[in-house]
Amino acid sequence: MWFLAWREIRHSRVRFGLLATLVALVAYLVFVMTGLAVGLGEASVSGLRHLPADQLVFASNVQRSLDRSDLPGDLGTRLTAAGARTATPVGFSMANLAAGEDVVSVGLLGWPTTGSTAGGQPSTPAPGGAAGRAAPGWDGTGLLLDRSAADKGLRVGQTVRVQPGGVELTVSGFADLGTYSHTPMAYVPLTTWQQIRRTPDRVSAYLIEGHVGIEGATGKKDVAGAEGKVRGVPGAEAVDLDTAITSVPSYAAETGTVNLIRSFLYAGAALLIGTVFWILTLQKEGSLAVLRATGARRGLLLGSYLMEVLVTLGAGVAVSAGAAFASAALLPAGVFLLTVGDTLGAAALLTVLALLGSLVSMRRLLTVDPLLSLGRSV
Amino acid sequence: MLALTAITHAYGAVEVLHGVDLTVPGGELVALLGPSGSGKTTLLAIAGGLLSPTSGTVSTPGRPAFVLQGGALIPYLTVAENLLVRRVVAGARITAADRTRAGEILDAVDLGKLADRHPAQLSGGEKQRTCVAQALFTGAPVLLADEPTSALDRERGRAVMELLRRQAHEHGAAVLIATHDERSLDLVDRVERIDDGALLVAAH
Repeated sequence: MWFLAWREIRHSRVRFGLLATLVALVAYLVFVMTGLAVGLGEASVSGLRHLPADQLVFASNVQRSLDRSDLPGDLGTRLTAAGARTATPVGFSMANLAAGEDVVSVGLLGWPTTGSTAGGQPSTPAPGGAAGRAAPGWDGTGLLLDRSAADKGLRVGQTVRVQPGGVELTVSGFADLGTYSHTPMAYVPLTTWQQIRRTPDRVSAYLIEGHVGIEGATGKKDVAGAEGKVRGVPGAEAVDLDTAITSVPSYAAETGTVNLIRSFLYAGAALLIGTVFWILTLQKEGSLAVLRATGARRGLLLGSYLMEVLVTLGAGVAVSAGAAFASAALLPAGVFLLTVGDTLGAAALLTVLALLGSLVSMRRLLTVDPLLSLGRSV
Repeated sequence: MLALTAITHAYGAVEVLHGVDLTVPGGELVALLGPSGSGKTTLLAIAGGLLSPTSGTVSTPGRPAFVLQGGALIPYLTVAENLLVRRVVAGARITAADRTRAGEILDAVDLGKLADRHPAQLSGGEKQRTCVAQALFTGAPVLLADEPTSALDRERGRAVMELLRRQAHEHGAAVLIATHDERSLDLVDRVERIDDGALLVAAH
């Protein structure tokens, strides 16, 4: 198989080079859109991914919106009674940090730094740090910011005014807290957050380790994966962390749009590559007929063809993956995230779709009439 | 020996071969002479196994090799590779001995110096000689050639016929050529005339 495939590629290197370039351009678009889908998605929700929780408990009827949710601050005991190992109350709201004339938007998370956690666990679980340890550089007072905030001009020791609320806080450190709706996460003590919001004894949600019982859920569903109204806690709704993440409006909208574009790109790539290889097959029908007339098995022709397709796809995809990774350096931080795993996944899907697109050529290839080799139809 | 017995062939309701009997013993070069549409190529395709007869039997000592027309060379392979590819399609690996033998055959047909060229770099005569060399390389006991001299001038046509004649006489192959070119018939051992799907009387 390689004998024929490699010699044809080498002899027709301009043709196959152009084809590989075409594949590379389409694959590059697929990779860029993949990077954008993941990057934009992460910029919307990575702040939530950093939360140490299996479930989140929101107020009912707020469509799992963290910044619209409002719950009493004393539900911890009732949530542990409902099955949670720990229930950590957190406050959350979007806010602006004004430093002189500069204003930086943040997702402000009120974190219980002392004595607020129900379930007997340490009351300072570890925002941005390893489990059980506080984030480096944060003593549980002041303002702990995601590292991306440093790029916006904020620095340790700086005093900023939180709007709305007008409370002045000092930046005490930076950590990997993630972002929410493309803004850096900012942690403050829960009591400070309540002061800023002027809502003492109120919180936005509870971070649940383990799972709480759900009304109407029975059997195994009662333990894990169940979502809905919390049993015995009226007005509270529990969802898994993943569900909470996909419920963030900007996440759903952005990833939905980009994934739709990706889907069209995949379909277009399969059609385009399939069409090009079909034309290529038509052009060499004479040679295929000769090979069949001289005794070539269909498997040999099919194998050679598949090798040509795979070599072309491989070259195009490899070049485009390299270009996509290089592009990541040029795109704004927090917008584009292309991992090796996502790249390999997209490349594999593109290859499979391109092979499916070339099935038409395979049929033509398998049914070529060896009589054509005699120079005419008899 | 190639033996075709009571061969008939029909395309739909139209019968184009009517009970043809033809035998080509090993060591003999036979020309099948007839006008276009007489059934020559159909008979050749049946003899080579490319087409199944409607009725009748084909007997050969092994798989016949076709001497294709010059335009049927694979364009992306060199002259030598166009020979070696016959080993690939037979499912065998190409060995150093195969390369040596291909070189010897190309030398024999005066193409040794062109072994690394591609078909597009050859003249019509060189292409046709390459096709003959391809068939010789297979070592098949039966060679079938469809219009092997049609695109060649008299001199080059005779050179190709000489090669086929040598393969029959020196190597014992049964060689059957379909042609309507009468310029080189003095080189063949026997002429079978075919018209309207039936053999006529033997000429000599």
